[in-house]
Amino acid sequence: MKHGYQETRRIHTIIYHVFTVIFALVMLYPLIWMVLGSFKNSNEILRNAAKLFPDPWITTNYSTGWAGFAGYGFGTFFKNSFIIAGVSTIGAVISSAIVGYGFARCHFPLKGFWFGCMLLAMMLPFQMIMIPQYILFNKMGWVGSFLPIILPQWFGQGFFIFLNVQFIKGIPADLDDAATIDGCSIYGIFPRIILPLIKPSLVTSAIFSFMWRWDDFLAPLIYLNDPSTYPVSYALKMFSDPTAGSDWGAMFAMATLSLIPIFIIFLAFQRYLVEGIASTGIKG
Amino acid sequence: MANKVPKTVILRKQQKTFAQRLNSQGVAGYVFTALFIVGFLAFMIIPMAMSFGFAFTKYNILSPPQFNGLDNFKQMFTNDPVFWQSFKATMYYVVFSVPMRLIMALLIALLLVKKSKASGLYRALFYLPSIVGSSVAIAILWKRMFASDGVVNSLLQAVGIDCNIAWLGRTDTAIWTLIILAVWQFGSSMLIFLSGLKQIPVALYEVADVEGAGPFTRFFKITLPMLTPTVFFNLINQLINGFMAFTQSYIITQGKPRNSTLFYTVYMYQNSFTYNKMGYGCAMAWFMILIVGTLTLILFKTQNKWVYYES
Amino acid sequence: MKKILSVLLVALLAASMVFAGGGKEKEAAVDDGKITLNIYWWGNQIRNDVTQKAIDLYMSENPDIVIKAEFADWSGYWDRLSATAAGGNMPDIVQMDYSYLNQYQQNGLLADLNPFFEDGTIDTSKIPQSIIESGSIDGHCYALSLGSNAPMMVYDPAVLEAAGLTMPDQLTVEELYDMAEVIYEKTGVSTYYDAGINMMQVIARTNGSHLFDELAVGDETSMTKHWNYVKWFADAPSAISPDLLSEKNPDIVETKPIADGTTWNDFSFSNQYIAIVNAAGRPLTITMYPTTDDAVSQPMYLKPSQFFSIAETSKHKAEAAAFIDWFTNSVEANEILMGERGIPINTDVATAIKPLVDANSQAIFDYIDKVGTIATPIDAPDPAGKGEIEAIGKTTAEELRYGYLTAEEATADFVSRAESILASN
Repeated sequence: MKHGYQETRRIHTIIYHVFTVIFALVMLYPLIWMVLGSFKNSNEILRNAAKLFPDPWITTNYSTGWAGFAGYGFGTFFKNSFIIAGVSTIGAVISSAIVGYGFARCHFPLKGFWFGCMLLAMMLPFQMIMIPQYILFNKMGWVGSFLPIILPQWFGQGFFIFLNVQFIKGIPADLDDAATIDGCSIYGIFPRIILPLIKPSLVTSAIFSFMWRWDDFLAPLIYLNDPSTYPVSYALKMFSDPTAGSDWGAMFAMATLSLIPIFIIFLAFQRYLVEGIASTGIKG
Repeated sequence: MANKVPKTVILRKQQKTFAQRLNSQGVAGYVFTALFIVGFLAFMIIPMAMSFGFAFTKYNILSPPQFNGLDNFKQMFTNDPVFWQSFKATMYYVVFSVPMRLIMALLIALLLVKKSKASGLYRALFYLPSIVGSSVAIAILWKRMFASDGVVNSLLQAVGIDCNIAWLGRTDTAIWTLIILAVWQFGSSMLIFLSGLKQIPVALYEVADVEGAGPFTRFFKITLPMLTPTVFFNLINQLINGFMAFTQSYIITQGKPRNSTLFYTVYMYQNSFTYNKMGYGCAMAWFMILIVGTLTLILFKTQNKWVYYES
Repeated sequence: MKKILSVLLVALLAASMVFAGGGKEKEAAVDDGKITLNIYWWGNQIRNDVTQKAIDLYMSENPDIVIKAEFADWSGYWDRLSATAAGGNMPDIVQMDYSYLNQYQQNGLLADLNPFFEDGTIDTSKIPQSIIESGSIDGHCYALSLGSNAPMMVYDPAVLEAAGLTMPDQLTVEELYDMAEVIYEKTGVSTYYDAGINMMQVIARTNGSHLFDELAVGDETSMTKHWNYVKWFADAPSAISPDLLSEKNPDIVETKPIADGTTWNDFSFSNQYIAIVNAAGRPLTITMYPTTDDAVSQPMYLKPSQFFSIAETSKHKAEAAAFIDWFTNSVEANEILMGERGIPINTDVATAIKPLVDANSQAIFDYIDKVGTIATPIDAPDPAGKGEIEAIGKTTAEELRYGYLTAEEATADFVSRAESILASN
């Protein structure tokens, strides 16, 4: 009996892994196609769509792409992207956690109103407030610097605030009560009790924030004017021009490179995702 | 309940000291949310109010807006067939892509929550499609996948289906290529489900094991109810995202064919910037907010019926 | 806690760097008596490279001028330009397009260039008057063309040869139809017929009128003709199927159906010729847009590929004009630019550059020369509703090609919607 049970378990495990890997490969096919596309010349990318492997393999896409344009190379663009995405993410994660705690655990006048404002801000497409916001930041003299792109991130982002609220609401209130009895103030509970328990949502926020800021090209487009301050997301768009022709090969090469930092961030952070309440051993 | 603690504090002493005032939930709430409120007032409220005001004007960005009352809304509802086409396309997209993406994300999350040596790698593999995000490369990538000589047709031919469909060229299939793209990029919802799953106390499952519950009972009696705050969050978020979807339509299909993939936000953007009708675009934006806001409000009102919170 | 603190510290440092960086640039503009000009254009990396090189050369020759280049992709360019216009800080020199010229001029955002022509800051002696006029509104020039362009049909000569046909100097639409039938019978290659706004303008011009003049008053004459032609071609066996056409999307150079040989012809402007040939990877020939059998007027015209304009808000208009003069009239600048923005408008410069360019570019030079000898004046700059009318035209063409509209319905629907758009703008 025991032997049979283990046998079934092993078969189950094998089926699990085989299924997961096959499914992952199917999901990844378009991505693999894109990465291999960065080794094809532009015309081959656009023709023979069903063909996966380049013929011949070329690496010039990477050299011409990396050289960038008008003397500004992708080294500069990557540096700018790291500053924008990095500084924004730190601010967004910290501020959203603090604000999220306030919404989740405190009852204060007009709470519903402010929460509604937050949701409203999430629903309004950026394009529609782009012009008024530009006028505002221009009056403040911030246009041309990273400030209009980064600074608003330091005041809490709706999506992350909401995410933290949902997570904090999932933490048993008994923990807060116990801490209060032990003499912990409401300001002490947050860093001592709550913060360690919402690691998964902090990590999720960090991954998303970095990725979204990394990918966003609209705010940099509007607010930056010096090409030496352009981020990768925006520079990528300049490989394609609907009227004068596009260098798809170079674009695929640089698009592939631009995925690497996001992927590394993901790999570095994802292991913290598993450290929820369950694995820290606190029981509700 | 969380709010009973300060009450007992108040009962004990008649006079409130500064520290106690600071510790009252009313004040603490504002201390914690101050960042958001200041940021909202500083960066959002004026632009938002202005865009709301523009909805009642004729405004081409290049010269000052002129008040024109409800003209934009009248035009929208009575005299603009493209408005309704874009509305329909977006509704169709939301109705299919949101549930499909959430179910996909939940299934994969359940698959990956199982602990194994490779689980970190698997998580990364399944998240990869989502990091492509809305990069410009995705436009050409997706077009080539669904081209008539593309890999989707080759794959179907390989399994014996004689298929030579121009997926992006047919009114009935073009929108589905965008829905499939949305489902393919399920990563962000999956991550949130994963962290939600990890938050469920192990003790509950231990009890279930003792009682001899099967996997389905475990899922429907423990996992799903305990996961409802995450489901709720993902649902609201994907709903908003679905209505705000822009790039897919803008860079992949450009609304083709016959406006069947012209998303609401794309038409709004075209009006605002390509046709220089910012006032009309803002009217469209606020009509969308009314719809999404109403749906969100309904979800919030029903949440105490199905969302389970620990505290 | 320590970790969080150190992270915060790093963040603050980084933030202060951002602040400092922003501040420094502002100061640099004020000191050392130099004049800073901002210039903004759209384009791909080739244009960005050559334009920056030309700017560097200009700055080395004019040490008291600093030119700061800003560039973007086409759609991003117009988003940001409208934002800067609303914010009152448009760059000094902006690249302008024929379809946006009217809107920016009407709102008083562009400087009148006539004073600079009169005082000789911009030398116009070698520039044809028609080119100056193409950037003029009510006798005042607000935009100086950077190069000439002409509508073209591009075709695969190998297919034509295989079908035993030769291309006349200028086709008529009727001849194109017959040609399409023969080619389809002999080679199986499909034909594309342009239903877009360029063809509409050409058809109106064969009638001796102008598209937007007709649409403004709801006149259906030319549009009846146009949509009947579109229907005629759409129903022919030689036509590319609407599914495939929509998938390939002739609006994007690289995926045009001619690129992979699905069709033997395509329509565009001459500045796209090189990009189309590169995308197709085989030799293609350039010819004129078709006229009609009963044409009363030659429809071909020369069009500015793009302009430079000076912002009305610019504080250094004279310096900006001097740069535009150099960009247009100096051979050394154009030896770097190599006609990337279209054939140089200064005839001497064009002659000097022509031997230096490759064979494909020379084909464009020859084509522009040829069109120049027969061209009639271009339509007035596009009215404000052009973008929307163009979009409606595209959808109408699809409806018609998929068989949801007849030519009569298409005409009535298109004209009435265009008329109301023009009236509301």
